[in-house]
Amino acid sequence: MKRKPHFYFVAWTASCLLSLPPLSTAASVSAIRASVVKIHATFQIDDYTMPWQAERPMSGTGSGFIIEKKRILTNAHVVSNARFLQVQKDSDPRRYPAKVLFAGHDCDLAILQVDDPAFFQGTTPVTFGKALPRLNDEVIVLGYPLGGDRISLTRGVVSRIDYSVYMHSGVDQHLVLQVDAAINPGNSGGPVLYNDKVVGLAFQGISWAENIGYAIPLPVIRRFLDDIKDGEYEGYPELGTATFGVKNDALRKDLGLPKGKSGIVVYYVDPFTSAYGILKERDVLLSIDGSRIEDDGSIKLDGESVLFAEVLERKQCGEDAVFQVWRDNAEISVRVPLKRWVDPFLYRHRYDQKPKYFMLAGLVFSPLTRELMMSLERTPPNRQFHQLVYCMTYAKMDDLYHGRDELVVLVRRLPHPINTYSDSFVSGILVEVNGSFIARLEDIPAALKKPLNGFHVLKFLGMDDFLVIPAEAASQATEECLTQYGIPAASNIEKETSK
Amino acid sequence: MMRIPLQLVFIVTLAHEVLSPHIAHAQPGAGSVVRVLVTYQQVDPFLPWQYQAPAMKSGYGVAVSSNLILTTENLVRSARLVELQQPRAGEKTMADVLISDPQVNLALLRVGQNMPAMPPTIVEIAEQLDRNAPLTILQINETGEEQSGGGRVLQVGMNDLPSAPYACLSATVISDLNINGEGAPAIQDGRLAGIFISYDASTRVGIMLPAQLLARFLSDARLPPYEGFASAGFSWTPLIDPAKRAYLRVPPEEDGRGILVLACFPGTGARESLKPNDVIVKWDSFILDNLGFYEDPDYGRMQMSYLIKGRRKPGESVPVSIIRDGQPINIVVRLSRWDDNQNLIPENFSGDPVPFLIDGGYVLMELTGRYLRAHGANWERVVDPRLVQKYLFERHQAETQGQRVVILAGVLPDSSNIGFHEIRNAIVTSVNGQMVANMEDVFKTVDKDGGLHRLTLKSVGVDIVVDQIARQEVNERLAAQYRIPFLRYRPPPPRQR
Repeated sequence: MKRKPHFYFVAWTASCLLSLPPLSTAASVSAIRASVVKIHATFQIDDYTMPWQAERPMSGTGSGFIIEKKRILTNAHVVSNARFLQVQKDSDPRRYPAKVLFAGHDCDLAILQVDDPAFFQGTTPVTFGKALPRLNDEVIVLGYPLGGDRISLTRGVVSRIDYSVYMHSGVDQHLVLQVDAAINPGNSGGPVLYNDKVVGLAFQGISWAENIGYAIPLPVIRRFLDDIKDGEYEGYPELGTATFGVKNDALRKDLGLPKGKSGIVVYYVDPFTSAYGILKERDVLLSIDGSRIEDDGSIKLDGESVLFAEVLERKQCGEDAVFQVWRDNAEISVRVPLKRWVDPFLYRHRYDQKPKYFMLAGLVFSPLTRELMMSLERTPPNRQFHQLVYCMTYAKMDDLYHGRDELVVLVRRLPHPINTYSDSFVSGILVEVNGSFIARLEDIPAALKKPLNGFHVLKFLGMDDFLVIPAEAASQATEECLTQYGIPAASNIEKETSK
Repeated sequence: MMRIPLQLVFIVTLAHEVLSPHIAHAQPGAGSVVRVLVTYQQVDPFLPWQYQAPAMKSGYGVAVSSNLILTTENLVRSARLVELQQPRAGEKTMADVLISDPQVNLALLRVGQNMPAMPPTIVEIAEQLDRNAPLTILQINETGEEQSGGGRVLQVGMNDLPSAPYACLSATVISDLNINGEGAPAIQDGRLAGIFISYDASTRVGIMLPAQLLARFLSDARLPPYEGFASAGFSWTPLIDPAKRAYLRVPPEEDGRGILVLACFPGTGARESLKPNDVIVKWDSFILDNLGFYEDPDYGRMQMSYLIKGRRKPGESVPVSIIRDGQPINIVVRLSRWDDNQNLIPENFSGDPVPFLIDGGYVLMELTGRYLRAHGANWERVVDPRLVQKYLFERHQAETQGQRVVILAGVLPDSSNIGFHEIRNAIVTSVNGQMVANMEDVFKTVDKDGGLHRLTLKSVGVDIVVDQIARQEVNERLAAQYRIPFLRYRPPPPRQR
């Protein structure tokens, strides 16, 4: 399976910044350094348990570099949730306002635009390398990390080329370039150079490890730049099969897989992905686009052994992947058209989207998101919290998603006499209002139009108990809560959905 | 069909064990306390074919007849060896556990034959704990000398036991004696008023099982078969919210009264006569307030569970007045003995042997609270969230009697099960294509089919397949390599009552 929910949160390394060593390629670096920019961002995160407002604005800096068409390439995490953005060149005291043109949150890349043409004077777009460097090849990292104001250069070698989770989304895994050059907070978005050409973009590290810095490698950058060519970022398509290798002889016999054939067997197909309805459980994937899949899921690509997913990594939505499949004791060819991946039950980090909410008589409802879970994690966990964790992991596999667009959570109770006996429901998942199934937040106002004998009756997942609000008094209580707790509006559903 | 917990050891008769007249008069209760030294051992939660290292604990017992000692169930739980030691003596005497009941945390020990010369003084059990009279608490200090201190009752009520998932009549006592072991007796007016099950030195407050509970336990134990304490078999919640009361159409004349039934457990009297959303306003002719309390003739304000556990016995039926769909009706609810083992996910707090099967290296067992907690203090974050959710939300929700959660706890790596080594804590839905509701189903299926052929895991569309040709050989190899003395434990069928 390509996605893995379990991964350490990767923060920035805290090791000391290296001083700049003299470089053999000093002249060429000085040409590139003019194109490496510092990004000043003021950002603000929404408050997911008080979704009508946001937390205190914070500021930070990152790096980026100028590419063709007078654009700046940087990390999506440098500019996400930005309220105000400025860019600055190494030798120029002026800061220029910038705006985000594209953001690929699944690959942590973004394109900035600067309207003032003066900014680009004296700069040249960087050149990208043709291929990835190999292990032990020497690379340098440019950027504006902590420890000073001016541009910094660190040097190291390629330590590893592997797949890893991109922490910005929390769920997506792509190729990464691991280097031992110091990569520190502020380096994010800066170029990684090999033979004076850009082969990667510095983006994350591991807080408790030494000399491990990660860069987004060339193929991921290229794919992103290709994706936005049509003026829109569609993101990676997801095949959506959960598989394991056919390594067991008894299983091989059971599947009728002849000797000499190898592959991985599909045990689950995600309903929101490209393979759904096309590949089936018990299908053995023998090859992808002509490359034989080994029983560990690897293929040979350009002479290297890589995961078969690498073939998919290089494709855009709208393209196809062709599998040779062992199904029902016969080998068949299956074409999977790769489609855009829209999955409300994939709990990626969310950026630049305000949380929807609906408040009824002091009870605040909002959809389940990764951000909400991070807010709830700060409070002592109760059993409802653990149910939310379960839903994030198993909503699809255990069929909770069926007929739903999202899971609706009672995120907060604003105490009011009308809801004073409702505490045990907080953090619960709302499944029914007045007998109507709740498939999305927007279903609540409709269901409230049909009270049961003058009462709103709310039911929650996994709970035998239910919550009752007198219908007539509810709207007045809602108004009172708005005043009492300083809330601008009882809901933002219409505003957010009409956007 | 009732499942009888393993802790209950039935004896032929206790009728001749009448209280003998050796009652001390000089120092009330003096000489009646003995030290109870217990070596206990529980099954390894992860390797159910073997036991954890034996460990020791000590507490107190009190002599209630010439050869019977009353102590706590928690102290003698999973005991391998129970020994008694009198004050001022080093000699140890062996004792057997005659009966222990985790639902009231009480156990009765029988003293071995070679009790040292001086028998403990016998203490008579008071009819009832006097809440207003002072208590004298007895224990033995480090030098073996009997030690006593005063105590005062703060409150008597139904409280959750710290040792098992049951509520039971208990008293909160403040004491100036630093009580250093469970089972320490408290004397009132020369008679046994209670025994301590816990004590917190920082607040100087202890929990004590009162005399009336001890008396009931002893009289039950004297007339086998031991019947234990009753249960009705439903969960409920207070019904205070006026909006909820109005929605349920509870008549205004019942204001301030009634509790809401949430769920009725299969195989219980409640399942036969009560329904979710029933509002119970009167239980056994006592009016219930909206928090579930009633006015007890002996204790004053008391939790309703005392009406079931304290005033009634298993097998009895009680009249109950409810509001159902806005209408008052009178029904009868049969009481029975409810055991945690009847839950979908039992706790197995005693660490008893659990049914398991190892075939082809696949370790199958039933999910228990003990197994989950064995994953560490933060087990809720470490264990697969699906199992955590099942335990936190569905552990009482067996659909049928005997239903459990069967899991593939793990795989013992072998060349025959390559490809599946990483799987653990997965829910098993079918064995050999047959749906299984508990390990008993698993045993029946594999015995019928001559072994484990295939395993279906929840939401996994590919079965785990076991090679039949080499099965026997693989099992022998695994047993030898992983030092497993037996590849299955199938408990004897539960006894009929």
